[in-house]
Amino acid sequence: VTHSSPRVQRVIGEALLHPVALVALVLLVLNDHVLKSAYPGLVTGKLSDAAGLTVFPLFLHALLEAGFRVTGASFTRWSRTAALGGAAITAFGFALVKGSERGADLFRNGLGAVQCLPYAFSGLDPAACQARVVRDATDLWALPFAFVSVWLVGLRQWKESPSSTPSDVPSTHS
Amino acid sequence: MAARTRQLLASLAVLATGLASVATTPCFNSATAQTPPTTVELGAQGSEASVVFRARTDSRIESVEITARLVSGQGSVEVIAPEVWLRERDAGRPIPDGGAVGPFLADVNGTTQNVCDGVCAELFEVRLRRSSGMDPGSVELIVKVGAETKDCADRDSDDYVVVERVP
Repeated sequence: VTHSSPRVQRVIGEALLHPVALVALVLLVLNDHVLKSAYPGLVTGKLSDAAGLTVFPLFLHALLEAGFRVTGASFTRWSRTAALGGAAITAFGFALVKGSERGADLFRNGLGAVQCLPYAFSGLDPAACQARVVRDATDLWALPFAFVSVWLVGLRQWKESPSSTPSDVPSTHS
Repeated sequence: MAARTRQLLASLAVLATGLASVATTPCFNSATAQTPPTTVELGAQGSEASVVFRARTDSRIESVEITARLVSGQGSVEVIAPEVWLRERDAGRPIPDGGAVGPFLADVNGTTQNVCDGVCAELFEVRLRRSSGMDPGSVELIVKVGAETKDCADRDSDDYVVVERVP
C-alpha cells in the first residue's frame, strides 16, 4: 500500500495574514487616512512608506500566485523568486518615484489615472484629480522594508515544507 | 483554521492591500514666502522692465503669485512671465488701472524648472510691459512663492522657502 503525501492547497496571499503584514496594512490605512492629518510630522510622514513597502510586494506576490493558479502552473518553486522579484520591483519603483522627477511624474499620472476613474464616470474633469506625490530622497531609508516580504514568504515556505507537500492543484482535483 | 476560511481572509487582505495602495494619500502642507514690495519704473506705453527673482526651497514649488500694481502714472501694465512658470491663460493678462492681478499659478505639470532637488535656487523672471499710458509710471510688484512641505510638516516659511529679488 502506498501512501501519498497529503496535497495541501496553497492559500493565495497567505503571507498577508502574517501578523507583521497585518500590522503593516492596518498602519498604512490608519496613517494615510487618520494619523497624517491628526499628527503631521516626521513619524507619520515616514510611517506609510515603511508600511506600504512591507505589504505591496506581498500584494504583487499574491497576484502572481493567482495568475499561476489560473493557468494551472506550479507556483511553489517560483514562490521565493517571485517574492524577491516583487520586493526588487517595489523597491526600484519607490526609489524611482522618490528620487527622480520623471518617476514622480509617472507615479502622479499612473496613480492619478486610477484614482480619477470615478471622475470619468461622474462627468467631472479627470485632469482635476492628478495624484500628488512629494519627491523626497530621505524617504529612501524605508527601502529595506520591501524585503520583509521575502522573509514572510520564506516563513510560509518553511512552514509548509516539513509536514506537507504544497500543491497548487486544488485538493478537490487530487 | 480551515483552508477555505484562510483563503477568504487572505483574499480580503489582498483586496485591502490593493485598495490601500491605490487610495494612498500623501499629506501636504504649504509654506509660503513673499518678497517685500518692489518698485519698478516703467516708461510710456510699450516700454518694458524685467525683474529677476530667486526662490529657494528643498521641496517642490507649487505656486507663484505675482501681484503688480500701478502706483503712479495713468494707464495699465501687463505682467509677462515665462510660460514655464505661468499658465498660458494667465500670461500677459492686462492689469486694470491701479489694480492688482493674481494669483498666477505656476505650471506644476511636470516641468523640471520648478522643482528643486535638495536645497536649490530657482531663478525666474517677471517682465512688465506698459500697455497704455503716455507718462512714466511705477509698478509695485510682490511675488509670493508657495512650496509643498515634506512629511506633512507645517514648516516655518522663514527657513523652508525663501524668495528674493536678484539685484
